[in-house]
Amino acid sequence: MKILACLSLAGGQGKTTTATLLGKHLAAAGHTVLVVDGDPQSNLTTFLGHEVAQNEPTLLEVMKASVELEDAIYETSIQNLYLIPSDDGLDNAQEYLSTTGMGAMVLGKRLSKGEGTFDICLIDSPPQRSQICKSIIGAADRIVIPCESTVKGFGSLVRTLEAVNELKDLGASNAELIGVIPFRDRWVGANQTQESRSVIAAMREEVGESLVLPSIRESEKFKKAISQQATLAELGVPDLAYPFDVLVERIESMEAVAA
Amino acid sequence: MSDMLNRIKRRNTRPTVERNTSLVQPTESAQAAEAISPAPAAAVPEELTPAPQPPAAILSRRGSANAPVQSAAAGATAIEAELAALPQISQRRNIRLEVDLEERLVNFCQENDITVETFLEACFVEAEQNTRFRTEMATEAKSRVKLRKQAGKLRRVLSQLRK
Repeated sequence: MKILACLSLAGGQGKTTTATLLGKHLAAAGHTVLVVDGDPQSNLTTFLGHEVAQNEPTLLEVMKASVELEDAIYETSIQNLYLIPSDDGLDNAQEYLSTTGMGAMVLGKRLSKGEGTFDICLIDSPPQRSQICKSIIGAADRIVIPCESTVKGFGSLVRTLEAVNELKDLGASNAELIGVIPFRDRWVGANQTQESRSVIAAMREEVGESLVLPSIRESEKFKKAISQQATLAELGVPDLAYPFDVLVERIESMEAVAA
Repeated sequence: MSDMLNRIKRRNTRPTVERNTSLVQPTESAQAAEAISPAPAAAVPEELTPAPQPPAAILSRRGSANAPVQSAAAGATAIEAELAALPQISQRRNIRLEVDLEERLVNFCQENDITVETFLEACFVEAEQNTRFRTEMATEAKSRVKLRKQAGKLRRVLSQLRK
């Protein structure tokens, strides 16, 4: 099982959009996928049609090891796609993680029990430099950074890369960047806006040409696909799914997935 | 298919957990309740001073001295239930008052240890129950609406003249 985190330290960068659609793509490609909602806002949980009951195990209980991993895994309506949900209670993980001393190692350790069952574990992260976020970076083998094609987005990319490198320097993470997805790439007719063009060029300079994936265009179709729990192909816009097709190919080429 | 997936698919029951999803920790709620309780007067002997009372929800959950301490999550749930039984407050709205009247109204509220909002609520509740009072209030309010509209029109004309 390879663990992939959708990471960005800013809100509105496309983490949950990427995690939702990528999870569905990977499942449709025949992989057994476990998606983990690491954000207390729990939008990924909602987008996958799951409603958390007050007394149901979630990611919080997995992190605290108060339940077995499989107690907090739920089937979704999508074949091959399983979910560890979250709710506001996940905020309580902050204190637990900060007092364990090895907070960055906790999530990876807990998820390791899914080895042999799931091909890919995909984690959506919160938009803060928090203990939960550190634990997600610590657990991840690969990181995908969605990044809005704006100045704010580029700033969040730089900050996110710094956070990953800081944990790697400490030996708390082995995560490698699998790619940056420019998000909300704006086009007017056949022309890309100046801001999108210049920001995506800056992304290429920052991480290298090969690590900048095809962009997610600004389109209502993505929101529609998520809110209607449909695929982009089902909405009649399969071309918009190209960034996810490329990302799936990259993930499939990872050793443990290909094996 | 792996054993774990089979178990997940066949799962009918899961362990139940207690999780606090409230922003406020139960201990914080209790501390806040104690903080707003009236402080004992200095002249009153200590044994006669009423001790600050925690919320009713906490009191009702207290058993004998040997009873196990309730968990923080259960405390939050009880406080949430108690809170739900109290009147719900709507979203904040801006209220603009006649300048001369505002000072008198605020003074009146301060003297009676009430707020402008609770005064307005009380006026409405009273008016609902008293036909004469209700009619008089509506008449007064209508004349005020008329004056405000007139002032608005004049301000608009004035700003157009100045352009």
